Amino acid sequence: MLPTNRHLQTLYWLSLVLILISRYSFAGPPIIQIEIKDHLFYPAIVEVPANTKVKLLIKNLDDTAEEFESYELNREKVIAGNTKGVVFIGPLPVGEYPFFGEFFPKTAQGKVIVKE
Amino acid sequence: MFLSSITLILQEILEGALLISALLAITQRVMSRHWITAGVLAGFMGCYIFGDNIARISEWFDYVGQEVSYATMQFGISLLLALIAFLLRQTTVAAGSKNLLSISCLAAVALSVTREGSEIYVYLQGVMAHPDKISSAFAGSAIGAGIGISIGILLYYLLSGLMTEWLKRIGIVLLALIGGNMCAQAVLLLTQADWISPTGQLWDTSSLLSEYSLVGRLLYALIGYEATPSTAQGMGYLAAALLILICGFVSVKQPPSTAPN
Repeated sequence: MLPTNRHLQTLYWLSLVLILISRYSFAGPPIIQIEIKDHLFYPAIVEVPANTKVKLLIKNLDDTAEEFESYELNREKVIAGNTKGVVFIGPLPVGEYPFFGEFFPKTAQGKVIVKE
Repeated sequence: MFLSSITLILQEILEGALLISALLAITQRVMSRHWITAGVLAGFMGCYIFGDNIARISEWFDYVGQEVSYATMQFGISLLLALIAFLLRQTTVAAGSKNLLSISCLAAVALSVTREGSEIYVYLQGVMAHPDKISSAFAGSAIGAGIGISIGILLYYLLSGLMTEWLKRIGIVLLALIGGNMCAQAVLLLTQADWISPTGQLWDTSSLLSEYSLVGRLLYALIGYEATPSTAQGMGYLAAALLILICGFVSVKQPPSTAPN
C-alpha cells in the first residue's frame, strides 16, 4: 500500500509528539553554574563526571562582555554583560581542561576537572 | 591587554581577509569588483546590528541563539563558495552568471564580515568601559588588524601573479579549504549548542602543534587547524571541501541536443 497524504500527516504529527516527549520528559544533562565577576570566574575550578555531557550555565555579572574560551574543550562563546549563556561540554575522558576569558585573559582563568 | 588584543583581532580579521583576497583574486579577470565595497559595507552593517543585539540573540533557542545564528552564517558561506566555484568552472563565465557570481561574492563577504566583525564590535565595546585599557587595547587592535590585512594583501598579489588557468585551480582549492573550515566551525557550534550529538575525538596533535602557539592560531584562521577536532567536525570539513572541489572541477557533460522532448 502506498502511503497517502493522510498517512504522512499522521506520521508527521506522531514524530513531532515523540520528539517533544523525548526533549522534555527525560532529565537533561547535569547543570553547572559559573559566574563571571570583575573579570574572574567563580568557581574557577569546576569538577564534572567523566563520560557525561554537562551543561555549563555561565552568568556574566560584569557590565562588559566576556568570551568563554577553551582550546582543550574546543569551546568559544561571547557572553554579553549582565546576561547568561549556555555551553554544552563533554562527554569527556578524565583530565584537566583549562578555560579562560578571551577578552580579559590575564585574570579570567579557570579549569574543568573531569573525574571518574 | 596589548598582546591579547593583537592576537584576538588578528585571528578574527585573518579569516575575513583571506576570504576577501581569495575571492578578489580569482574573480579579477572575470568581472569588475563593485561587489567588494557593497559586501564589506553590508558586513559592517551586519556586525553593528548583530553586535548590538548579541544579548537578545543569545537568548534565542534556550540560550544557544548565538551558536545557531553563527553556524547558519558559516554554513551559508560554505554553500555560497560552492556556488562560486561552480560558476567559475567554465572558462568563460556567461553574462547572466556574472550577476549571480557577483551577488554570491557580495553575500559571502557580508556574512564573513558580520560573523568576525560582530565579535570585534562586542570586544571593543567592552574595552570602552575600561578607560585605563582603551589605549593599549586599541593600539593592539590596530596592529592586529594591520597584520591581518597585510597577509590578505600579500595573498592577493601572490595569487594575482599566477597564470589564469593555475589561478583558477589554486583559487578553487583555496575556496575548498576556507569552505571546509567554515562548515567544520558550524558543526562545532551546533555541538556546543547540543543540536548535534557530541562525537569522539578524531586526533590529538596538541603536543605537536598547540593551539596556544602563534603558528597554531594562524593555521586555525587559515585552514581551520584544530589540535583536538571531533569526528563530526572532520566530516563537516571534508563534506564542504569535497562539495566545493566537485562544483569547481567536475565538468558537466553537455546534454545531447537531439534529446527527445
